[in-house]
Amino acid sequence: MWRSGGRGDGPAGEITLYTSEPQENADALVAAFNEQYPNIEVTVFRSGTGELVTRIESEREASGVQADVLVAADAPTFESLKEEGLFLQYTPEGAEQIDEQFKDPDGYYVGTRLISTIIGYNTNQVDDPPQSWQELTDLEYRGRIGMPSPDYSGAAAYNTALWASRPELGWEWIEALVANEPTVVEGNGQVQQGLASGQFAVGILIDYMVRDLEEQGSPVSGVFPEEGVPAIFQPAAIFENTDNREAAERFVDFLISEEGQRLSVEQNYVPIRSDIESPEGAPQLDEIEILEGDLERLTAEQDAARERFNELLRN
Amino acid sequence: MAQIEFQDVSLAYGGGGGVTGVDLTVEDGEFVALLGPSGSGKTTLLRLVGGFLRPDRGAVLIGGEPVAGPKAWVPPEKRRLGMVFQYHAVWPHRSVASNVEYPLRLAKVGRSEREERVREALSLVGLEGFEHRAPETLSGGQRQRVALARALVMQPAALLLDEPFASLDAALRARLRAELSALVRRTGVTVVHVTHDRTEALALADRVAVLHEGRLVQVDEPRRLYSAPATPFVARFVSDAALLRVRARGAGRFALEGGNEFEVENIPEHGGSGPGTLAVRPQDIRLEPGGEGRVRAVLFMGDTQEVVVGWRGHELRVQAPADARYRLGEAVRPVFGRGVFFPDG
Amino acid sequence: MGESYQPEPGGFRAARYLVLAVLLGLVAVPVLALLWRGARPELLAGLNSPQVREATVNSLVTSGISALVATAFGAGLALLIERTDVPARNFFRAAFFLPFLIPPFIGAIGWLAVFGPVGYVNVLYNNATGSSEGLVNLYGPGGIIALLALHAYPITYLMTAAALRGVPGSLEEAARASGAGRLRMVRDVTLPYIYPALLAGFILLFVSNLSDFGIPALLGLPVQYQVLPTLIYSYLVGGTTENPLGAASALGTVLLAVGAAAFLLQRHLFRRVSSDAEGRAQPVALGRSRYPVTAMLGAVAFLFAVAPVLALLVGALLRAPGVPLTPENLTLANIERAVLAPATVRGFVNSFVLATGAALLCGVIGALVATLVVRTRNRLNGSIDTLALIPQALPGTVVAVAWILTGIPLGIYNTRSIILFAYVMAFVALVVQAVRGSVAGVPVVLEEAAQLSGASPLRALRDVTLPLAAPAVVVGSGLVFFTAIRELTVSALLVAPGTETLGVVIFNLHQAGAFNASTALALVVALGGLLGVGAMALATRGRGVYGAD
Repeated sequence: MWRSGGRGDGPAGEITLYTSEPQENADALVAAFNEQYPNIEVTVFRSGTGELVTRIESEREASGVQADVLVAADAPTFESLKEEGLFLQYTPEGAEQIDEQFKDPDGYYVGTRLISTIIGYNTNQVDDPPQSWQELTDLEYRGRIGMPSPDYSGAAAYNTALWASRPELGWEWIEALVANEPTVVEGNGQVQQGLASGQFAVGILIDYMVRDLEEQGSPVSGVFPEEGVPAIFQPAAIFENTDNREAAERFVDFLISEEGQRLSVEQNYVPIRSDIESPEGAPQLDEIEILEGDLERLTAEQDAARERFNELLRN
Repeated sequence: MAQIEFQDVSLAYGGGGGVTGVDLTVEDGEFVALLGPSGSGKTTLLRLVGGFLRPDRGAVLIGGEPVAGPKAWVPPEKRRLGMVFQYHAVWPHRSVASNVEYPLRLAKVGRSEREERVREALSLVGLEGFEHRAPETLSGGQRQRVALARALVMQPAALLLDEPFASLDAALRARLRAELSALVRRTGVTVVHVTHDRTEALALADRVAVLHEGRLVQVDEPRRLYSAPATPFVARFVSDAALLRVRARGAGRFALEGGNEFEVENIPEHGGSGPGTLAVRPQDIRLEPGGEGRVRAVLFMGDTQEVVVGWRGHELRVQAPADARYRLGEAVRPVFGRGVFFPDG
Repeated sequence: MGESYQPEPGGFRAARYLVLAVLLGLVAVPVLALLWRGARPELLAGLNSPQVREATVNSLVTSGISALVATAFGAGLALLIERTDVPARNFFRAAFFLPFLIPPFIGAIGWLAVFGPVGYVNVLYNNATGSSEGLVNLYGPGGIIALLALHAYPITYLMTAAALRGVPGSLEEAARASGAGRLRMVRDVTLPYIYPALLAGFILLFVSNLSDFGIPALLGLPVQYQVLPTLIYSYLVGGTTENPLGAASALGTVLLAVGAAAFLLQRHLFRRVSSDAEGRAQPVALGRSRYPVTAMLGAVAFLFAVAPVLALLVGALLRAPGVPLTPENLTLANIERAVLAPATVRGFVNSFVLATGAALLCGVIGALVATLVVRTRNRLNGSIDTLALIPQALPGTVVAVAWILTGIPLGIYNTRSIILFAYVMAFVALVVQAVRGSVAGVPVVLEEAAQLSGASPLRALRDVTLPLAAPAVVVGSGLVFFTAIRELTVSALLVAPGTETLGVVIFNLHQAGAFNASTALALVVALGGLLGVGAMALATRGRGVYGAD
């Protein structure tokens, strides 16, 4: 096929992307990437992080991982896949713009944006929104809170372990929260719907989902609680057995390139590079107070924390 | 036109309808009806000719050539036969003309000749101008005529008719029967006609072959079949005869079981004496007043009436003149004008 | 018994061996692979875990109760609409048939829009009461049973209606003449006549509800209510077990056993009561209750047929969730964006290619099987018939697991071919059943007449039976197409990057919380299905395609 001048150059071939990004965002990402690299065909396979890991594990046993690039939720997942030797070491162009805490010191993966868990509220129902995690235990919100289940949302499980590990919150706060009768739904998407429709007055959910709805006109807004927010930086990594390393590297480069990061901003994400402005209504990356935790310890405690949370819910 | 021959044909068949040791020759140009109750094997014989069944034993010959037998097999499509089925097997997805011309088409007959012969065949069955009609727009009788035209269009070696009138109403059946008779005489085609309707068999056929439980019991001209049945079964099936278990005492005298004697005026064949079966047709019994018989039912038939009489533990059907009057329970005496005696053994 | 039919021409023999070989490969091999892998004592012993026991009980409870409800409701509805003087009969027939045209998981998305936690009913209730606990909870066994029954009852309706048509009017009149009242007559004459159909229908629905993945996945998983198909899904896709393939195979073996047992039971039970009696049954007059009954039917029809589609429509048109329903907040943008999204387009192309391929293959194989089985006598015919029909009794999940096990050694795992083969296996029975009746309905004498006209048996088949049976082949293949293009259960387990089907795309969007997009696509699929199948039903009106006989 005849191509217009210059476009036929550059890396070519096919790569497969496994991602937990919303389908629409992943599609937009690929479209933007193809503006620069028209000859690289990207097949997107979107699924939940847990399901992606299952697929990766079973493919590894059968005939090798089918994917070239993984862009998914949380660092713990990447840590364990890295331990298994599934990733390539690669430091993408522009990685120097990213703060040390958002990338693997060994260079196996790198963060792409900051996703925080915050408090969202329905503006029709709440005039004076809670400003801290503590305030969620106020009687005012009894039976009016929605939150995702740690059984289904990897991020929610991580959050539970993180809250529990923080001295200012801890299990004491989680118990008080559960005592305030929250409605535990499957995932962030359900919290989002419940907030918009007025099922919940307040909800614990991911920040960009709040901004998405706000932008579309739903009666929803969000608060970054004072204590700080659990945050993940949605890492990207290249699989060790990729058969198109160059294309995979260009893709990861693109993710943290200025264009890639601006696209993230359009999609209401907080960019991982501090030199890029956050989307309207969101704080700048360096203004965000992140609840810190020991990654290894949290990874180890995640299952126990989930169990304990479910136990509390049942009682 | 051809002769059809069954040589010692047998075919066992699950659940009735098989045939055993059938020997029969249908002469060239002859009209033979296969008559029998359902399950007697008459349709099996027809399908053996058609080539839809293959005999276990014996041979079937058409025009002297074996078409089925120990070494021979000619598939149906190579037998050059025409057939009309009980439920008009007219193809619903083809027009009348296209139904009739189908055999010609398969025989690779040229277009103009096809058209000509279709027209001829349709006019033969009285359906001129029906070429482009769809079968569903035709009446049952018309469809059967289409089937007949299709069967005749190739000038077949023989015409096989499988109860062709059974699905038609009585008046139409009678008319088509007459038409068919005239038609086959005119064309001179050999016909094998299967029916369980004795009137139809007797009316149409040159000879009637009666089947009973897979065996041929009598092959004869209709008149002889009627007057000289070969077995009690034929007598009852063909002419509705009453069958009485009797002992022949000679000179037209018979004794019923239990000893009561009676007389039959005319016994055509003196089959001997001793135990046997006496067959008496309804029209060969007269009723006289007084006696041991009791009138049980009277059925008015138009030009005659059928009187059912209980007599010495038997039930007799009597064909009586239409003008006589009988009351239920009236005492009558049956007089046997004619009977056929079949000694046992 | 020496039934000496005319010797069979070579063409039939070749076709028979070909069909047998194809069916062995498409049906026997996967089933055997599943049994070989799954029916191992150590694996089956592993099934004795609380999780599996619970899922098994849940499966039996939801499919059993829903089949019972659907049978009772479908039969009652059929009696009301087919046998009484209720007005607007054709309208009600069509309206009550609609839930059958919407794939269960699409229906579930629609019903969530009505009765889900943020569905219209609960939101209205919450706004009125200030509570965040809904009025109706669609999640869990209750909702699953209700929706399974809702999507299943049209089958009972059709089977009952067909059986009712077979009840000779003279038998009913005889009952009336003997002094039975209307209800008594229905109870003593009509119902006994249709019992076998009801029983067969119940078993059919039980198996089909046991197989359904979409409804329990959407309504059960969020509250951790597992049934066997969702448990197998979480084993294989969610990675909730050590040896996923082994565990899934063992569970698949159990499901296979249940399905096969039901299949045999149904075959055994489905003997029609027959009678030589004739006559069309007269409609039963409803008398004074005619109008109340009509109003009630209308309300239920609205709820069943219109409400979920309407909810989908509003959800898809609303600019954003939570904004008031005003004209300026309505937009086609969501639908446009969802439909044109690359993932949707790819899913549609995949599903279209797969459905077309499956329809063609099933059409050819199904027509051959039906013709051979009806028109020839051979001891292999029974095996061919069973091979072609038994997958219908197998839950889609079983078909998928069987094909994973077959596909891995063949190297077609993670390709579109594996989905295609699984579809052909799962759906070929649809064509066989549609065509079988049609071929059987072509009197043999029509072929014999052609043979006597000089046509060989194959030529007779081509010139006579094929044209007459062709509409049934088309309808059967069309059914396969419409079933496959909206399929979820099988493809959910078989998709790989690049081979996602439309059903999986919508399901994943919903699972990922992209309700805007999933609602919009559900609406498009529901409307497309209504139009497509509706058009097909109109085009083949009166052929009894969906009928049980």
